[in-house]
Amino acid sequence: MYLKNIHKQFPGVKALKGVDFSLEKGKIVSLVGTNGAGKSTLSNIIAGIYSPDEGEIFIEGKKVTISDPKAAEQLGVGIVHQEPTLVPNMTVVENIFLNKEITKNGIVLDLKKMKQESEKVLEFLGFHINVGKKVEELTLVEKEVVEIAKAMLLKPKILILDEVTAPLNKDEVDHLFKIINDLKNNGMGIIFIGHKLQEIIEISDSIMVFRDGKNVGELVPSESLSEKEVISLMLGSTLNEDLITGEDKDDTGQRQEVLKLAGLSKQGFYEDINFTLYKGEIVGFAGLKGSGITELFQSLQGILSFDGGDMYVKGKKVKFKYPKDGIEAGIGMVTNDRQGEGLALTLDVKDNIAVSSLNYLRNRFRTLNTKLLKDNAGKYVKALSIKTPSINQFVQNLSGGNQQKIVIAKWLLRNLDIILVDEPTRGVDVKAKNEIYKLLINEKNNGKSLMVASPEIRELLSICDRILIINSGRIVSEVHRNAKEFKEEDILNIIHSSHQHYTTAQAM
Amino acid sequence: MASDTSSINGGYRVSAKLIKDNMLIIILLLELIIGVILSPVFLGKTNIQSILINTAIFGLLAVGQSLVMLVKEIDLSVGAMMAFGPIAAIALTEKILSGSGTEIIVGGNYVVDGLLLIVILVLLISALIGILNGIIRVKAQVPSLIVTLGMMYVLSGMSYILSGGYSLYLTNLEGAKSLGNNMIAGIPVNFILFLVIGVLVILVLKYTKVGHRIYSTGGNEKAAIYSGINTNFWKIMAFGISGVCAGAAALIYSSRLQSVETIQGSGYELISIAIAVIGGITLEGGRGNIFGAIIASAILCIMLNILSLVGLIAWYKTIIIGLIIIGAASQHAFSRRTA
Amino acid sequence: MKRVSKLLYVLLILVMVFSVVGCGGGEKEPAQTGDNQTNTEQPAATGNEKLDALYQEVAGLQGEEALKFFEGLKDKGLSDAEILQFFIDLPLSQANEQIAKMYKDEGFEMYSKSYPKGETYNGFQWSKGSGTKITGPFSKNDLKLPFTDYVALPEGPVGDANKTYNIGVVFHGFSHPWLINWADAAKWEADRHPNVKINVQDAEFDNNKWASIMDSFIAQKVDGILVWPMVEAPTGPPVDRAVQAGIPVVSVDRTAGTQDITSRITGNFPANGAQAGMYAIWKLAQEGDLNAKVVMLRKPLGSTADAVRTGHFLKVLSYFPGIEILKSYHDTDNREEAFTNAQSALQAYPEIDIFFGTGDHEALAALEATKMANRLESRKDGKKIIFLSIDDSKEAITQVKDGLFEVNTPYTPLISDIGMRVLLNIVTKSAEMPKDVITPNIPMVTQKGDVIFGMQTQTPDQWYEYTFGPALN
Repeated sequence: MYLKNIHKQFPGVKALKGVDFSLEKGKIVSLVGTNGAGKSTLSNIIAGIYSPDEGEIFIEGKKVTISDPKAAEQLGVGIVHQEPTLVPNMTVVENIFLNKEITKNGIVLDLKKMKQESEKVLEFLGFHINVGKKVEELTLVEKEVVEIAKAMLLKPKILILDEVTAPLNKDEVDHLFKIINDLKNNGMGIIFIGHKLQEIIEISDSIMVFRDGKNVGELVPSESLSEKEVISLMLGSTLNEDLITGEDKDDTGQRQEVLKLAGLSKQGFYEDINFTLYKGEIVGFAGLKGSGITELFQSLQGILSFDGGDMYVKGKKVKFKYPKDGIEAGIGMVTNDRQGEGLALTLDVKDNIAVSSLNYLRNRFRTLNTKLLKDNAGKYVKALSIKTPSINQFVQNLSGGNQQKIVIAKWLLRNLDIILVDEPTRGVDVKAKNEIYKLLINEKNNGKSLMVASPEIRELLSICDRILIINSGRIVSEVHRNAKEFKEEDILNIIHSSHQHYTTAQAM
Repeated sequence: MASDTSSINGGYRVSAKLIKDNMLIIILLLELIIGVILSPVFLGKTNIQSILINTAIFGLLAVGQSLVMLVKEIDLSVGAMMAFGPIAAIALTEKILSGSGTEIIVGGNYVVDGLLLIVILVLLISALIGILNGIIRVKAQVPSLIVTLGMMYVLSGMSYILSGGYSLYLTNLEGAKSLGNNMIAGIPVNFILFLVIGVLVILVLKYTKVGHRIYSTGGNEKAAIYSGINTNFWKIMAFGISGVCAGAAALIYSSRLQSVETIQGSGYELISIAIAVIGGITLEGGRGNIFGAIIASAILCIMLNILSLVGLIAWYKTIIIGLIIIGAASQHAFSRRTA
Repeated sequence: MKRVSKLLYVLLILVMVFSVVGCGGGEKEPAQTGDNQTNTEQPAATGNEKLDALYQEVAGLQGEEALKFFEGLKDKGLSDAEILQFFIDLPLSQANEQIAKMYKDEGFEMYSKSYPKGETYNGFQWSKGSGTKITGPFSKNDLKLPFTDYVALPEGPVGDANKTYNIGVVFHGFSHPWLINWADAAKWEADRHPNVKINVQDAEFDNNKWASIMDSFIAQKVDGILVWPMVEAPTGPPVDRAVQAGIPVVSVDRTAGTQDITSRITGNFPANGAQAGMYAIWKLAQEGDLNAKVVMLRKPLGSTADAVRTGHFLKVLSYFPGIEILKSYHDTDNREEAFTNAQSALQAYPEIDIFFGTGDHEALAALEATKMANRLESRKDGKKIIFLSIDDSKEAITQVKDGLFEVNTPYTPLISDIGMRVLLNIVTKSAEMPKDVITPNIPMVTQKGDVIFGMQTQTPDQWYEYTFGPALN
């Protein structure tokens, strides 16, 4: 199979910018890259979920168009998606044979045959699952196996495995790899997508590295290939070092504590978080998607409750019931879903800025002081250089960067001591990014304490004084600015290596 | 986890599960027992026949509604369709046959001819409106709650315009009363028709691809799309079938009362949803089965019958229905969580 | 693209509407009710020689002459009841061409003919103050049933004292003040007889449920059924089934769509319309000008109440060429809609002399709208607009008392006790009951109590205790 110059554009994002890709029979090619690098988009194009804007696809030398999933199936492409694609209320057989049903005489389903076939596939995968069970009654691992069985059913020539190992423990992964190797030896071409570099090096015949919608290199695993080499290729050499402004404040003894967490836990999200935040610092939180950071932040503001441990704000033990409680205690959160949670898109700029501070913008009649509101909104629009024609502009008409600044302005106006920022620069262009960084650092210099979470490690390296690495809801490491590990490669290493431990724990 | 506890008190578990899985049947049996105790005429022939006719009308609507709910949609237009279908069909028949000189409506509002054409048109028009509901739903991406709510108003308005608000009498239309009143071996023909349709739907859902399409469309639309299923098509189909069911229910209704009224069937959309919910179909789609809906329609009709036999005032009736709906929905949700 | 397809759907719907409307609706003949096809034996003449002679005389008269003739009826030796009967059976005149055409176009003749009229049972006449005060068993309202002396039945066991008579009652609307009072009166009568057991069922405005309840009564083999049918067509077959099963069925107020019903108690729709017409002419004559512009706010088109009342109203007016009907507005028994209609009328017509409402909502809505438009005294010389109201709600009678309504012609739900007595007489075979039992006419209600064409009206205070519904605060 061969793909040539594939382009794909989504509203607002260019997901693939001219990707070439080839896969030979009996080979395993892995795709690696940071989130949003284009791996899943490429696999979805091969599976017929998306069609490319530009480019050509050849399978066994013939040019093909893969218009829908059914067409991909007929061309011999099987895929296990990253997201669950099982119907919970249907049985295992029904799911495996969804849209591939076997019938007698074309109308009546051949239930017996389908049952045998699915048992055969599962047996081949080395699992015994009651195929008459409903999928919702299965364990996480069993579900993943069914997903794979579903893709394997038609004996595809090309099999795409998108993050299949996430819920599996080490033994199960080994078992799966054995099967994959068998398939490979039978001549199947396999595309493997994953985050666990160790696994990838172990299984792949070659590794394609993606960055920003392009493939930037191909590595051939060998004894000498280290995870570090892969990571540095994933990140590229163009590290943006121009804005290193953090400082090391190790001297914790004399500093004023503003927030202290003692063994904070929330079942299913995070566990035993011990952490102290001091006045005038920025602490970064690094981890993979689903590591529990967002939920931790939400708990700190009172959006989510926690069910174990204690939380102290300026030495006082607190437990918030509503977000309002968090705000009153001086904690504000800039969410990672600014359109969904952070902004009222159909309101104008000034109302969005003022929405959390309405109680402080009252006049002596206890009604809203609209002049004060306008003045304040104007002040922040200017201070944060928010580009808007006027403070009466509807927020939905502004660019992502400017919307993000408004969310931040909302909390600045409230003059809170602790600001939690979840993905401060998501979907924001480079220039606006720098402005937002400056803004956050400025707040720190004004004596505020900030907690910043971001999937972009570079971002954290730029502005944070120290970085906590969270995995499966636990703090696994803390890296100070003056430590030698305060480097992207090292932090990514910690994240990726500790990932394995997490899934093992989870599967039990 | 689950296997540990079940081995400890397995016997209790099994019987509890048996009750849970057959809750609807148990309720039905209990109702029958209560009915026999409370009223000596409950098991009388005419009373049972009356229950069966009502079950046929509500059951047909509920079967259609259930299909729509299985694909995670809802159809509020079925009640209005029950009036519009016959009214439009009669108007259209009059127009079609007026060319051949056959008079369809005499004396202002007595329908006297064209029964076969009317019956076909009722089913056809209802199916088309259902399909239209579906097309608007999937193409314009308007939630079905809104589409069918709008359709409900459009249809009842059009029913008024077409009929001028007058009722139509079918008393002088030969054969018109047979569907609503004839019996085969003491069983109403319409109930037999309903059973045939119901069993057909159950079999099709269970033993053909259609069932997989419908359940996956409602259960996890993305998964269905990834498997190459045209979920939009199946949604439109579900609305179409719901339309046909409403048309069939309208035929039974009009035949039983030998008339067509602009207000007939109003409010029945909610009853059909209530029955589907009692039968275990959820608003989240892809869950529940048609058998449950059929049993639930019998449960509701028997309960209404018992309440009217013992002479309970309507206020209490509505409270009881409401409690049953809430109770059934929570019971289904509960048994799912603890499954 | 999306917009285009949306547009297509809208077009599709429109095409559907028009194609169906175009072929179906159009000008439908007015609905005929129940037994109109066979019940054509009623001749142009009434069978009452005295009245027939008068109709011969009045036939050629119009305007002032007709008025003089009407005023002279008393002197011709007619009783109050006969005068009202004269106006009820008055033939249509061609003097007012507009009204004559309207009467023909809307098919009022047919409605008028098919609606039961005639003598009351045993020639009963209602007299002011008669009747019985009760507390409604269902509504707990304080009511006074006006007709407890009509088809009177003494308290105590009926028929065979050792037998229990099971009576089914089916109607709609425990939630509706008029209808719950209807049920009150029926239950009150049944409760007077210890060996009568009744089962009152509410079909909640669903005709299928109504039919199911009838069927359950048939299954229970009740001794008799008292019904309030909301509409005619779908109520015919269930009544037929009951009658075939040998169970007598009696309807009260509205009629069911079958001729085979055992007996029916009908209200005084014809008198309501005729009285409103009489009052209008009398009032205009008092003011000295028989020219007037009338707006009619009406109940749903095709409903018996609307057609019979409007028809009888127009017959009286047809003798006066100076009357102009500006427009008829229909609503669906809904005060909001009636109010909007009245507002439209006030917008469209700068000169309105009379508002005629055919139901309990219409005149009240007209008054409200007129007050709001500040048009109450907008007639020539600052005269007040005349409001002719029908249906004796407490609110309407209060408006008469306050001088805002000129007249109310009562129509009461408190007649179902008559139906119950008729049914019990049939069930116990104690008396022969006619198929049509006519409700006695009730004098109209005016503020002061006037004599209108020789007929004495009653004052609001005299009638107030008979009105239906909960007490006003």
